[in-house]
Amino acid sequence: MRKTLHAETGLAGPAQHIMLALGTDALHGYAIMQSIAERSGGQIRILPGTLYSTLKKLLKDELVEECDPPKDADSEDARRRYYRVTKAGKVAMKAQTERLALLVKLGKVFS
Amino acid sequence: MARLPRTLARLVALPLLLSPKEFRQRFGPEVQDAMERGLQEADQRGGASAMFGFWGRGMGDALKTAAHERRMASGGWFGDGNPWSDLGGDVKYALRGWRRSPGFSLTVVTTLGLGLGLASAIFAFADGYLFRPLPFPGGDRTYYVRDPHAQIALKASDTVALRASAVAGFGFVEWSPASLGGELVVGDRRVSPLVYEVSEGFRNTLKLPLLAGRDFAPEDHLAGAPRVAWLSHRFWRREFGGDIGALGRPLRIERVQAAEELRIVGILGPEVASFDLNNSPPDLIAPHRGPPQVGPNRLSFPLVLVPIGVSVDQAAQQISAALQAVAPAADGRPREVRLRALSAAQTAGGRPTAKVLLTGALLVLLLASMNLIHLLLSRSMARALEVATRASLGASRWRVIRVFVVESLLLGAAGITLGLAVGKALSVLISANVPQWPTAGRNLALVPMLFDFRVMAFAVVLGLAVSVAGGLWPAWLALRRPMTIHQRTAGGVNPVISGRLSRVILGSELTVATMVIVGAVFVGLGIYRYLNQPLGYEYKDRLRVFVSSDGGGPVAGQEAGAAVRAVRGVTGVREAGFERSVSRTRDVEVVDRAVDTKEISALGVTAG
Repeated sequence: MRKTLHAETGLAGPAQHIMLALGTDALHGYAIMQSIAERSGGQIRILPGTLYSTLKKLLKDELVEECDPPKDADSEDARRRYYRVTKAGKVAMKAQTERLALLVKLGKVFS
Repeated sequence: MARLPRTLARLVALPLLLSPKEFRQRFGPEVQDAMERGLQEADQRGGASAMFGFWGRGMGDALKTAAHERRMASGGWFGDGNPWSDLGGDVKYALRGWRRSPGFSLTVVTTLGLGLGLASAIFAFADGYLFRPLPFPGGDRTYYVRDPHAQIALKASDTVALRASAVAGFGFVEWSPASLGGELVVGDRRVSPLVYEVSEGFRNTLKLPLLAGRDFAPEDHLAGAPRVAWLSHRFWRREFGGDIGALGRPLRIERVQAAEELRIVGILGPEVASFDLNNSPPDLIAPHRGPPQVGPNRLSFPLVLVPIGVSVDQAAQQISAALQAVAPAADGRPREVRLRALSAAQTAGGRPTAKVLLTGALLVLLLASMNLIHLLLSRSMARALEVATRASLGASRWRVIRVFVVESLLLGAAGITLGLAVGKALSVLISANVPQWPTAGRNLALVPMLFDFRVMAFAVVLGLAVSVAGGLWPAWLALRRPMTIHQRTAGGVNPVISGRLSRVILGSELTVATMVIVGAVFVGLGIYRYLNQPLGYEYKDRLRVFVSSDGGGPVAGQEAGAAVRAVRGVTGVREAGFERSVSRTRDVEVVDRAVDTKEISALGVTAG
């Protein structure tokens, strides 16, 4: 099933979590890692190597783009860059969410 | 303490060194920042152990990421992720290649086919002598019993005594030449089959494979019992055309005195030919009827099956002790026996021949394979531009290799198919021409040639290995230097290896291929001539006449001499004389088999 989802949307595993963590915000890499850990109650943690390898692919697929730091950004670290979901990324995530919702609905027969 | 996370985070640059420069430059600082933040957070949350735990996982993840990025940067082995996508396209491309250059394809297939055919046919011959176990259970525990003082055999009376001794369970069965005493009528033909007799319970010791039919029953061994026999596989194929209906069929034995009926009750499997090193394999195997003959000079070659858990030395000691108990020597010497493995006796004569032929055949196959790979290599040179184009269009390494391997495997499949057909035909030819009598001290008819699943598997494995090598090597070379062998000029892309040189290379390879084919033919002719080397006389034209006294023992010299003179008088006999025989019976050799055996039989002697 995972393979099918991946084939249909280009999103699977870490990519989905990164997209969900970004949501409508602009976040830097470490903030994305923190957000994923918080949202999943610490069950899912993505390490820096995987995070940036996946971000690279999302940037290439134009599902995510680099953006200016938000006004309330608390760090002046020059190494830090910010990312946000593109329009295409939102469409892809919407379609993905609908598929997952359908799966949840269908999966109720097992609950 | 605040410096430690920063120091540890900087170390993440080490695994990232493996990643492509582009990735390292773009994301390296960010990875380091995220690591540093993560380490600080882990330190606050769980102290040093949590921090080092995070660091270890982070370093491992960075290493994995670096390897992944490196793989992706080189296009990845499988490009689009599915290693088998558009496999049909590669097959069609390879088949179109056959059509474009039929001469090349035909040469490759023929070279591989002939090499494999020769190798598999020779393997079919050599397998029985070098690798295949005897075709019945306990073959490795079956031994001939010999009397070291009598050099080769036991006395027949010793064998009979041992069958009633404490070691009777070992078997002591016999396989000995016999005679029908006349001709066998098969349809409208009369044939003189070679007959061997087996003692009672032979298959309890040597469970010979029967293609069909039944074992001999104890009543078949009684004196005067109706004659029954098994057909040898070779005789069954030759005289009955492999008709299973031969089973149960009554046949007539034509004699001067009276005809007798013989019923076929079994057909021997193709795996067994004979157990007699000194004579041709039998056509019929019959049960010995009546009590065993135990004349004073009658010898015996008993076979025993040593029980599991008993060593050869222990078995020899037990048999020696039993022999001492039941048949002590008249001169008071202790009785002693030696055991010789049946498998060694069966294969010793053919082993050197099998080794020489198999080595020769494998060398021919090696030569053919090298030539085939060189053909494919030289062709890959000519296709360097194509490889470069594929690579520049984004084909992954795997896709480029796959094109070569698929083409090579298709050629290999055709070569293997041809090889199996050639091998089968050659094996039939060789089998039909293997002398059925001892030649130059070797009896190559003891172990039949079987072109079975083992031989086919041998040919297929060899063919696939050659095909894969023939695909991978050129593909690897083409991948390594698709660009270096080309230089771009104003006039376009000019290969460094010119088309003329490529044609010369291809031409030379075709010449070598032709030489391999011619060499294979010569090897085949050599084998044929080796197996049919002249003996100095025509064995088939000779006839053996047995002269014995009424009691079955040897006859006096004068009586035998009279028999020889009588035989010489028979129409068609050119010469007759005594043959040296280990059995010391008076055998007369008649030089012309075209004579009417009835005339010889009428003299009161037995012609076989």
